[in-house]
Amino acid sequence: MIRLRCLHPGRHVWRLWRRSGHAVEETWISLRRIPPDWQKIFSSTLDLIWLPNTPQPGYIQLNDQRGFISWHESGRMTRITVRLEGFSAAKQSLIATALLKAARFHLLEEE
Amino acid sequence: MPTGKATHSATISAAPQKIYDFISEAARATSFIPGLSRIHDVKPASAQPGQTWEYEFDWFGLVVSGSSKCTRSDRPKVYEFQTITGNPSTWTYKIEPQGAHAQLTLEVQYEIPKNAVARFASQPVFEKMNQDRAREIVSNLKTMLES
Repeated sequence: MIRLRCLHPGRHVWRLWRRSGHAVEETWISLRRIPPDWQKIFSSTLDLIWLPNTPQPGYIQLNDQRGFISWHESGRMTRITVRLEGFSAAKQSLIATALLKAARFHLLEEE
Repeated sequence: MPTGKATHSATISAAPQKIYDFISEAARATSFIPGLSRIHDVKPASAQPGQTWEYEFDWFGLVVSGSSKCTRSDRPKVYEFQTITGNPSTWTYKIEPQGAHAQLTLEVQYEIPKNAVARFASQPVFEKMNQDRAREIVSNLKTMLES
């Protein structure tokens, strides 16, 4: 089945900016009515790609100082920061993309 | 319906079992297949012939969704599935040991839909696009498993 969607329901998470060097850091915003369970979304995604992590309220620390994901809720917006380090640049980019897909499309399951 | 085939191989510094286990969990595919946005309704949870799931590709608003079925799971040598709705295709991952490493080959056989050929102007362009995608998928797997 092929459907054309101008406003895909996953498109309520946007990447605001990205900085890359030895580490990659990205900031995203999500516009939503009810905050989803970000900890579950991101931790399960990291588990899926075999990246050990330690969830805490409001953030997830990747083990072995490989970075973190944090989120701050305000009104109808969530600001999400992803920092990844200690991987190759290509792998950091793939991990960030996998997390962004999870943020966008896990929301569909919960709404 | 005309068919096409895209194939690409690479040596990966990882054990065949590790490569197989990474590839054969259907939900993980979103981490290494460009444009694949969502996998859901995976039943049953473990890879085996007959396992099914739903998939969704998203290319700049053009969403292609459908169902897939695992057709072969021979750990750690071969993992194969078919997309059974949407654009029909058969995806075969072959893993061969090479000393401490392994050779991974992805082969995708697909039908070439007339509307897609029209959309991308010519069949060679469509085939090159799929060949590039196979190369990118294998490259992403190498990146995820090595670094």
